[in-house]
Amino acid sequence: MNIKRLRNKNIFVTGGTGALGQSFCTEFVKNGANVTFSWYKNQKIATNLLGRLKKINPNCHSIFLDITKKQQVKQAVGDLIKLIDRIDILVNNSGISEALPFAFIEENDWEKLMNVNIKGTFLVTSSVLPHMVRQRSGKILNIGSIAGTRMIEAPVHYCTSKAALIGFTQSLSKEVGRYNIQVNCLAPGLLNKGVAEKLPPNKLETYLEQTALGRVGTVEEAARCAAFLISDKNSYMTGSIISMDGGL
Amino acid sequence: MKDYCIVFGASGVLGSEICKLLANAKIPVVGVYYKNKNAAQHLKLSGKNKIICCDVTNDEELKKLVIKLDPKISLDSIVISIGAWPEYISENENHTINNSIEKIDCYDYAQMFELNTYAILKICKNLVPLLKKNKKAGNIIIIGSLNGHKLIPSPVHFAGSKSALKGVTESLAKELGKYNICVNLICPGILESPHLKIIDKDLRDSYLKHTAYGRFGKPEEIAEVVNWFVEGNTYISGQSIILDGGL
Repeated sequence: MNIKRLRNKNIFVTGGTGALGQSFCTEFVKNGANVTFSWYKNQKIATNLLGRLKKINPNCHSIFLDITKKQQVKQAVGDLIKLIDRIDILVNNSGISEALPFAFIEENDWEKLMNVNIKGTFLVTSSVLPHMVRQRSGKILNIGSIAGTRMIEAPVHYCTSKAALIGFTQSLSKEVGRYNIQVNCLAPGLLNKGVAEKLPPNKLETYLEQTALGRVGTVEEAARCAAFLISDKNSYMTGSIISMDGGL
Repeated sequence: MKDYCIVFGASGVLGSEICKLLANAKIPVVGVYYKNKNAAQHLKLSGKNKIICCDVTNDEELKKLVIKLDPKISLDSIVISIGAWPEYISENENHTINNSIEKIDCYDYAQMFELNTYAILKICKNLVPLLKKNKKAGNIIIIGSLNGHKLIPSPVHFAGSKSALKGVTESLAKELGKYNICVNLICPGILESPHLKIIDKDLRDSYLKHTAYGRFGKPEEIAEVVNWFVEGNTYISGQSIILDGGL
């Protein structure tokens, strides 16, 4: 049954060209939303994705954006508001990771990752939030990871950044709840596309052994969950961290 | 054979909302009630949907329920929305839910666990074989409370019996994952319901003051989330989903 939970909602998704980002955009559009996504490195994927989305809904857009640059973010969000009038939902999905043991993490590695995963999320949110406050409504979904909620073997700087998103989510939800703005965090475990594809077989095997469902999740499953979390049907959850890890 | 969802506590404020939403979503529902036949009949479940009376604290009655259901349905999801409030246990109208440990009778304590915890284990013990038979993904959704997740004033026996459900959920999720069954706990905050009046006024005011949304939840808001888990969840398991408007 195809339920259009996001009919006519204007959604801004950062990091639209990654596997999960593409899946989010596609699922949201299928649910009736007008989606704008940002991209940074993958122009070819962005063009293809936008073409696919526009076939379903012509009111979709893409923006080239370095989310770590304050002026660029401010300008892009301002232009977007002029173009689509309002942003109902922001999905902070941009994120990077780097498979480095702690001993090999240099200061510049740390800064680069924190810049995208934390500062970028802050900059985009702080540009979008004033519009939501004026609207007296809005939904923000931060894409975290079980690397930020569970004790797992993963790069320390990545885990730190994803754990920071939890504090960001909970604190922001308290502050903006009075404006009818909802802030939640979806924290997926290993998914079929992305990190799981590059994981050494022995590590993947260990993960699967410890997961109740005995399999990795799919980006489509994460996208279906996200589509519900940002829908009007989900109206009393805020400041929540939803771990989606198949029972790790 | 159409997949069914069975809802325990169908005559309760939340259970009845869940039944209505599922039925509206064309998911066949079996609503199980015990004492409140009138409320269960008010659900007006028709067609493939039905209501059944069963005392879920009684293992024999649950076995009979399974026999009644077994040949007729392919079970897809179990929603357990049962539970008792302290004033229900004590049958003393003057009790508020702020009563202290010194006032709680040991019998009340045991009764609370009987209804809020043991009954849920009994339901799972008897119904899980039906879920296993259905080879597709299944869901068990237990309605808990904020107790065990957030530090809130609450009668000890109620808090203990509800917070135990977190362990039940996590352990069941691990055990049943291999059968493709997800088990989750939905933890609502304070809801607008007839029970609201038994909560101490100071606690209600404090809740409103400290909650980001500044309002109580509505049973239908919780039911919507339960409905999604029944309809759409295939990979969240062992989780406690907090629905408290940002407490």
